[in-house]
Amino acid sequence: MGWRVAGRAQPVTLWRRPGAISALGLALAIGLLLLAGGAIAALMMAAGAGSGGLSTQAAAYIRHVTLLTFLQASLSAVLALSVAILVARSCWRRAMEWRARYLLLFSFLPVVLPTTVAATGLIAVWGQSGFVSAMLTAAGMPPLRPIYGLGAVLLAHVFFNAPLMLRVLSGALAGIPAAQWRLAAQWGLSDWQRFRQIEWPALRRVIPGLLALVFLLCFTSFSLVLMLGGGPSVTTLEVSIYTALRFEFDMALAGRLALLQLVVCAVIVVLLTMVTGRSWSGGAGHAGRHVTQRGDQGLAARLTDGVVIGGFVVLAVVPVAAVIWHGIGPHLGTILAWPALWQATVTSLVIAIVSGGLATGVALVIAAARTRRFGAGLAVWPLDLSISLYLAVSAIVLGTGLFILLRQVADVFALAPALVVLGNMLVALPFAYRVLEGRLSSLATSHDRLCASLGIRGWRRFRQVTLPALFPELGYAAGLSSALSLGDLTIIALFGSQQFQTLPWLLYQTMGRYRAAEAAALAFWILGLTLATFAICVLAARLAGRRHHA
Amino acid sequence: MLEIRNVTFRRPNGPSFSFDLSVEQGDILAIQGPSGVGKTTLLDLIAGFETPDQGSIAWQGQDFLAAPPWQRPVTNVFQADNLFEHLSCAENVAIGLDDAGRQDRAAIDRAFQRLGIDGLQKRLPGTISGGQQQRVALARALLRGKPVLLLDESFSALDWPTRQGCFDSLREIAVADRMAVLVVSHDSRDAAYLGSDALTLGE
Amino acid sequence: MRSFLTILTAVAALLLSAGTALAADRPVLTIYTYDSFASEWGPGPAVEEAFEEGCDCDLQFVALDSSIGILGRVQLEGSSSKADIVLGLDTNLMATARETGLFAPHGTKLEGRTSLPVDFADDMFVPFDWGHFAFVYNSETMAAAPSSMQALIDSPDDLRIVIQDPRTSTPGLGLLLWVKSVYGDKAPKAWAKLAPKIVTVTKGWWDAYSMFLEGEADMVLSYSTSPAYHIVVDGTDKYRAAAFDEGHYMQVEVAAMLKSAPQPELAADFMDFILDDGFQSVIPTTNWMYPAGKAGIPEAFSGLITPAKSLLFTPEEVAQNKSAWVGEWQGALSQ
Repeated sequence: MGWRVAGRAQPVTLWRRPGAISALGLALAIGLLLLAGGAIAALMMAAGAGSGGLSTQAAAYIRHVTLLTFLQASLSAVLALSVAILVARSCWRRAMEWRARYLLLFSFLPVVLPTTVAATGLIAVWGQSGFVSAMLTAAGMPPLRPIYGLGAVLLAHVFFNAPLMLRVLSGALAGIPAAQWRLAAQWGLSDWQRFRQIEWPALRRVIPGLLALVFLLCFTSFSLVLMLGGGPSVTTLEVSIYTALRFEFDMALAGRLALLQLVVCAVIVVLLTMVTGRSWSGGAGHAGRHVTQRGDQGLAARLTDGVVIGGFVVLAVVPVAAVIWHGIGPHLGTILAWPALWQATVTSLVIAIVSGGLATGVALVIAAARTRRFGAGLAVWPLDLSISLYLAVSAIVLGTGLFILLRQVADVFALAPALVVLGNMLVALPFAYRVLEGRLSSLATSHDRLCASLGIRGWRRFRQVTLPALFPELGYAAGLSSALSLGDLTIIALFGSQQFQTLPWLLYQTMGRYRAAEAAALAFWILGLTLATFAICVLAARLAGRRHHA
Repeated sequence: MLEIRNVTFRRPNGPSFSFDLSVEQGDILAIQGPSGVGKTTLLDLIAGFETPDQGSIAWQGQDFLAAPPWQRPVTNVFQADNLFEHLSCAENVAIGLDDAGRQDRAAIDRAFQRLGIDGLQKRLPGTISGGQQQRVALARALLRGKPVLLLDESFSALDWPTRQGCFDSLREIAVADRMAVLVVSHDSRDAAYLGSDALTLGE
Repeated sequence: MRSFLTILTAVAALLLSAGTALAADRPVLTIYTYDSFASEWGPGPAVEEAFEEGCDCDLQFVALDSSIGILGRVQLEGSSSKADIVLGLDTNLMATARETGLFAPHGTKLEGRTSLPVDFADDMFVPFDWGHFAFVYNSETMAAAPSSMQALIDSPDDLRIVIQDPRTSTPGLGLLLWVKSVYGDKAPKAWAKLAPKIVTVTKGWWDAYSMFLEGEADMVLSYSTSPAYHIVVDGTDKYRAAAFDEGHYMQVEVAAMLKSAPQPELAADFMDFILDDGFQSVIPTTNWMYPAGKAGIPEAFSGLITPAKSLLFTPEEVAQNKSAWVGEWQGALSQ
């Protein structure tokens, strides 16, 4: 018998055959592709319809907005990264194991914190009649200048993205082998040398992906810029698409801007998938424990770290605290007496539940189809493309396309509720999909042989084996999609009207009227509903999972 | 008798293997050898996770190469991940059985008693020891009523006294239930303790 | 899955019933207008009551976020629009609106019924009020207001003003035309110099005025008649309009009925009603503008500034140049 040394067994996927679920998944994926295709085609037609040649003025405007968006997104990404690196190093140096955990816990908050709420909180802290100005005035100094404009937008983007970066960077630092820290301590490396020789190589692996991701988020930023930008001097392509569509009713301009945005986003998404392996998405498990380094215990180092961490807490926590502080004040009573509030609450909740449920359901079907193998990979690409397309097609671009597409056949404003549900579902889809697909494929790999050998197949396998194990992720996906929808100001900005209002839209209007106290109370209301919805979804799923064993 | 005759298998761009062996009912055959010599591949071919390029694999003279894994006269206990984390031990056993078997609670309880894990029926796999988990998997394999039992390093992660206990149960079962058992192991103590024939691959 | 479908059906039913529940037995006259007109503090409720007295109908205002948005909305909806009448455009938009071909002649006699400072004869638009744009300030926090547009532009940059977007709001467009009529080709330079003082550019008049009242700006673009509101309602004369030497741009607000109006007769009745006393008498103390018809002017209006010179482009001039001038504005402001 002649044996030769060999490689390892490959995962068996032979018995994940295409079935009803694959057909359904494929049908849904094709539906999604057609929808996006229709929207893009409508944009192209609209852009083409106005082609009496672009006036030099319009061309200059588009150029200017694009440049401004690039500048703003680059600045935001770099600033957020600098803040995150500083804080991550300080946390690590202070060996804040348990405290760091809390820090990371609340850095989850921006994931579900509605941008509308955050903007209200930022104004409550940094606004002209805000908390910081009040302290300055009390100290006999002039209050802050109004925070509208580029400064406000950058502040908001750092607020949202630095915590995200902090999580990843902390993971990267924790992944540095303990031996390297020990060597550094033995050699007595200075702070700078340590950063250069030990920390930077670890951070450098995750930074390009992080920068690209945050750049994309800031490039497509809409509601923050809408609320804090303060007019045409600070805008993004997204906001200018919105103004072209809803202010000027200029379909040709909106179509052109949307196509431009689409191309830029597609390029960034492709770059993003190129620079990111799985590396940036989390730190390594084998954490090197912190070793006390030369100079760490000095007064200067302690002071610096204290200021950095304290400053970060002020930056990230105080705006949320301000919303809560204002929210539980007497103005909550005022807004609770508004009939419009209750109407908007019901509308928002219904939209959130329906679009969250739909997003989770569609993501589940497509992910389930994806984990099944098709002959020669032939039918996989529509599934993949149907999801990744919606990363590049931003909410505004999609909404604009649908708007232009549907206005030819129907009354867009009469369809608003359905369109808002659809839009929110599509925006949440990639997130829900990422959560479910990851878990499903890992479940599939770990269960394949066992299920094949036990003869548990098809619907029975899904119901008895896969679904119960998937409950936590289903809850998380549903919670996340509903929370996203509850906080949405993008889709509703396109389709909303005085007759069809959601809570964020009402908040935007209230802020527009400059009723700061009522706006804060309203923000608190939205925040509470969002967190409650998220928590209920997650807990209900956990309960359903537990009930299963009983 | 399980017979594997002139079986060859080659992975795309990989090494090629060929096997020729047989195991009687009530016998245990230990498969040994360094990693990469095809121990797991052999079990995969028997269980139907891989398809040989040629040769035949038969039980009592009947070739079952055309059957999918769940229709073969074969049952497995893998090295790890034998149990579904969300199901209790008893449910984990029941899920691998046919409808009649699933109803027969008494049989399940008897199997737990026989393997010395009685009382764990309601527990979740995460709350019991590794040795207990593998015994639960073994209980399921027994109740499935398949005559060929394949164990791929099933007890290798356990400490030696625990492993001995598992082997004791295994030996008893093989004889009592007249099963043909293949045990893949990298540890030569296993074959010695089992007192079984040993086939060393890679020589 | 089944319960999910049940929810979905229930929601669909809910949304549908909300839409159809509005269908009452009386004919409904639908008027698109801007938010502050339809609000409880605006002329809307009084106008509705007065008109419904004389007809067996239900007058419904649909409030849009901004005045120019009204035109965009009916353009977007085209002939399928539910609107009978749009109310809240101004002379600057008349030529543009006429070109859309969406509007019908009103058939109302204007002659002898108006009290406008300019000649107004049009077969499609009926004027309902008028006024002069002006910057309003709080005289308690700002001792001396600029006395001319030039002085405003030359003010130090820590003066904070809030204005409206000319693409969405008739006051915003009014200011754009005001600056244009004062500075002509040099308007972009004037805007560039004004830019640092602009705290924010809002979508509509109401947003900007609220912001000013909350103390987030020193001056707001509004009307010379705005202080009357504070005199009558708040009993204070601390809010003043700044009189500018170069003159003030004028606004005449107008309404028009749609060709596709579902209730053409009711719409025609309403067009005629606009210049009646039932409409005109509520204008000064609810919309805080001068009535276009012959109605009394309250005492509080007597202390207001009266511009030495009224500035006004013809509707055709505006229609021809608007997009170029807005482009200029956008360019100057985004430097």
